[in-house]
Amino acid sequence: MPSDNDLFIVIAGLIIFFVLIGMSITLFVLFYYRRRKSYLRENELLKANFDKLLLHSRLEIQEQIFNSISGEIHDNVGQMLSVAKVQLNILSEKREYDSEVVAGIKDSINQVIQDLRHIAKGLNAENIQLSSLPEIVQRETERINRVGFLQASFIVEGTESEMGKDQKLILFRIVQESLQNILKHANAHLVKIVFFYHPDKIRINIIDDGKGFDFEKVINTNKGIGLKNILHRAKQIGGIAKVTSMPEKGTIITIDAPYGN
Amino acid sequence: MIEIIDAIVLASAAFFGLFHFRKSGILFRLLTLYLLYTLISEVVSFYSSKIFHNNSLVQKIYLFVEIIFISGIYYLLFRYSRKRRIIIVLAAFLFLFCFFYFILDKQAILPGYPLTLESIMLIIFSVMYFYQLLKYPYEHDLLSMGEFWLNSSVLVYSTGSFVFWVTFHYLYSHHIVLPGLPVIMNALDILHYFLLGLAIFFHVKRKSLIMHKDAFG
Repeated sequence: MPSDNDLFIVIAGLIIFFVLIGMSITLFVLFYYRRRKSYLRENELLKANFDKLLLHSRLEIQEQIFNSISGEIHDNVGQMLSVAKVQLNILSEKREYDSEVVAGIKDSINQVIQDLRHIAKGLNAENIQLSSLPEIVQRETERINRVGFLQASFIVEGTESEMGKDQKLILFRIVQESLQNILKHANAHLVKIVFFYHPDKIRINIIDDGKGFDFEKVINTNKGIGLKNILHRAKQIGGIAKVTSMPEKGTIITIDAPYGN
Repeated sequence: MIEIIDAIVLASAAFFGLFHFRKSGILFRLLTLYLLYTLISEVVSFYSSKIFHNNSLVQKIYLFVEIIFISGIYYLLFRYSRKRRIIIVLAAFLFLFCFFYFILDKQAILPGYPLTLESIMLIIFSVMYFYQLLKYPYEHDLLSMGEFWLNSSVLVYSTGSFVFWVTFHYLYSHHIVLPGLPVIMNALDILHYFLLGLAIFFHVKRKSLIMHKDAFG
């Protein structure tokens, strides 16, 4: 037969059990809502950081466009107009019609018109929004080839479906920054940009035959700001950037980013 | 009397789930089938003990199928393959343990040890799920989430069941018989089925809200 003591222990145990389990679940709910609050705060912070990055990328792209326009005006349009002016001076000094000089002036002006068309067709914010990523990168490589410091080629494998405009802008900025780094530091003759479109991600390879560098050494100093930007930007769009380089062996920058909106 | 209340609550939860079966997601459909299966087993068990004065075979079969149902429910509840693998491994282990336990101990009338082990497994599952909820707190209203009530129910029931079986074994080994002890298990069952019914209710309510929003914006 059970004693009163046994019964008391069982009942007390049960009461303690239900109080404990009830308290645990209540505590869990309270803790959950606290966690959710901090999760939402973190999310907002991430979003704000992303917006900042986006704005920064836009400004950098604009700056790059202004630089390239001013460069083209100075190097091509300005040069050709100066030539035309000299030819006009020759014509006015001769005081007689010289068909050869006039043809030269015509050629110079035609060249100027062509260059201006190139600039107008080139990159502007609206063009970036309206064009696909391969189209924008194609224009950028054409611009580099026109300048003539190095030979750039561009290959696309797979087909692009609709991409979010923020993602497109940041990916373009990564490519642009990589090309700028190659132009400034790599001493390269050839650069190859390859886009691989997979169903769920895009892989971009930017390969140059330049002098290469020690990645670990550069990334740990103040010099590698451009590289750090590339890695940071890729991370911000949920992707990853990898830099493979060795002194005198060229550089490969690989960007893997989730694809879609 | 308490057995009747137990059966009524179980039947209500099962029929409520069945009534909203088409509206429910796959997880809650499985839960409804589990409740229906439990109801049928309870009825068969009742008549088996009336006619044959023994329902241990029904209880044993019930236990095996219950392991499959509960593991299936938790398999669907988790999103990540690593956790799903843990569920499969633990469930397979328990299944084999029960199998060999019943083969080796043919005299076992009450499957006390397998039930204790099952409780431990369910406690692990429910704690894992709560941990997942804490790690990814996407849900803005936890208390209106069917999955939360389902998991709370499993946690309360399995810890209660664990405490019950441990107490039972202790008292049994000391030759103490408390006549009211099974009532505790019945009370726990009632709470369990009530909370499971509540889980289906919240799930259906949320689904209807989503469907309404999709239809009318």
